[in-house]
Amino acid sequence: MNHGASVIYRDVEKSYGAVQALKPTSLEIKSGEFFSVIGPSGSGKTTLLGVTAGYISVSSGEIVVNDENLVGVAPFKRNIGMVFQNYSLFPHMNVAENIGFPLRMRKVSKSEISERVGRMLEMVRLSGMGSRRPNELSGGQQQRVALARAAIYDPLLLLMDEPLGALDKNLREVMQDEIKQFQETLGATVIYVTHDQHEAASMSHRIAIMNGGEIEQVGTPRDLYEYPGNRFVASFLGEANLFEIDSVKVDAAGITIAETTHGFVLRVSTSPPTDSGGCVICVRPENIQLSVAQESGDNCLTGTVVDVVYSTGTIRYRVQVNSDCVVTVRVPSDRQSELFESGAVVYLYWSAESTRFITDKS
Amino acid sequence: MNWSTGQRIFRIVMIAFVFLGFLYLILPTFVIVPLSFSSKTYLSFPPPGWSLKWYSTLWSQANYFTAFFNSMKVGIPAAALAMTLGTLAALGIVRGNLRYARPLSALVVAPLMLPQIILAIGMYPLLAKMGLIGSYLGVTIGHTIVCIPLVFITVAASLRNYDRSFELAAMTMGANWWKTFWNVTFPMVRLGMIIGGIFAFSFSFDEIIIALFLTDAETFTLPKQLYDELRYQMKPTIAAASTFVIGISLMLLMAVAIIQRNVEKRNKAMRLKGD
Repeated sequence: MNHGASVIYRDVEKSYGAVQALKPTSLEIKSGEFFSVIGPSGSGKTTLLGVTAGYISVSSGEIVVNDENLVGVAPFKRNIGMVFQNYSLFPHMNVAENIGFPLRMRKVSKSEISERVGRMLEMVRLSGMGSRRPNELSGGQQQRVALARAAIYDPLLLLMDEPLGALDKNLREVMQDEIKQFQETLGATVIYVTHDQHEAASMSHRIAIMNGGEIEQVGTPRDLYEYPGNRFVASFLGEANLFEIDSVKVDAAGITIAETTHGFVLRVSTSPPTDSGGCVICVRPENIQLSVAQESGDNCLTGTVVDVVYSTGTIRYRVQVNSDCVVTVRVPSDRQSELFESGAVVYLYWSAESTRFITDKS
Repeated sequence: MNWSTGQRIFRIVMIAFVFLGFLYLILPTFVIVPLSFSSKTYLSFPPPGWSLKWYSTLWSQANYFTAFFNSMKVGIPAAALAMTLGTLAALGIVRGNLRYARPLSALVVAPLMLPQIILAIGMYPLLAKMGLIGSYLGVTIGHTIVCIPLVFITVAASLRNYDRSFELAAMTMGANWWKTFWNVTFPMVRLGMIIGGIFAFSFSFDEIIIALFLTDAETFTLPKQLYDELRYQMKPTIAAASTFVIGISLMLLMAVAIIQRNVEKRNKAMRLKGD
């Protein structure tokens, strides 16, 4: 596989009776792209994968892979590779037979099968394990067999459905790197479904966030995090401090100033979206700085630390700034930075640049 | 100390209870075995003396041989038909995404739940109209109807043991419906099919009510022969024939136990893999 296929979804829709599992969805995925789809369960991400693989039929729309519309094509004629969450390695076949299965289905000669399986085993570092049964392998090894089996026939496209869901956290991180490397070596186009936002962010070129059967936003991990399109995206990807807005005005210097429902006055760098109803203000926890003394800044609040959680590399504070408003702040935990304890009175300040209006849609 | 003594007594009581339970279940069946070695011409327990003469009498009676072969001629095709139809039904109902899967499944299992006497009464006029009373085909059809649920239940259970993604995976890799069934589904349900088939055969081999209605003087099965003998004479020949039937049933049960142990081993391996 030199170049993975490009994929275009045109108004793809799937309904079960009155239930719309996938609302009309349009999306373009580029050749060789590592594209993740994330969202809560029931958001339609597995349906999107199913209609692409072909084992779920679409109600309407087109799925065009390399200029060919796949709608109506049987799954076994689509030439798409898929890795399932439970790997689905056939228990009655050994590792080599599992990896060679797609080639056997394509009536490739025995000698060519054994040669290509050998090369594939080498690529996933399982040489010499061809005669083992899947249940004799560790979780990570089984994962690599599933990858090899899905890629050996040079499919146009590799689909992965929560492939790391069954592994423990440390192994997940190792396998993330392996899958990424595997994808780059092959130049394959990958559509990767996960509910783990960190996994998606660290592996993907672009991510689609799905909710309620439709795509909320598509973008690079950084775009999605720093410029979330709406309230759902902002709170699904990472943590967000959201402030409801009471009124908005522009001051003499041309800076937008918003008054929140809690009575805070905040300087915002963007203008409020005009297209639809309400909007909220979003500030990411790591853009806020803490201090014991009042310092100058675009935005400043004061409050009491109510919760301190240390996690690898960062400290997460919850600061009560108002009787019914708690702000989350995340600071790197180097030795120089001051550690605040629960009950401490602190000042929070942050720039107008990191203060954004987003659509109030949850 | 006291506590552990109490626990030991509880354990002994439980073992005794389980032992009595088993005795209650199988004793009536095995009373027939010593009777078959009796030296007297009437059935009494315990036997007054021992001999093998009833086995030689059994050997010399052509009716028993005919009955045994008739049972085979009915049981083997009935089991084979049930294995095919029961497996197809299980595939359709478990994997088919059918809207009415539950009521359909109840319908398939119904012949096993309904009283056989009612099935037999219903079948009689139907098969009579088709001219099949007394034919091998007629009683085979009758037995197959009750055998299908036995295969359906075991195959459906083994299908539910495996995630549907095995078949989906095979299809994405280029296997069409037939190749997917042959390479993936069939190896997974094969043992379930065999166990169901053994149950089906042993059902047919033991069945009396449908056989009473649907067989005649030529096609009578082994249970029918035993029943007829019992009505006219109470000789230990019946006990000898019964012992023979018990032996065959035990062999079939053992075969099922051995196969099931293999299935469990494989499932255990699968579970380890899954986690």
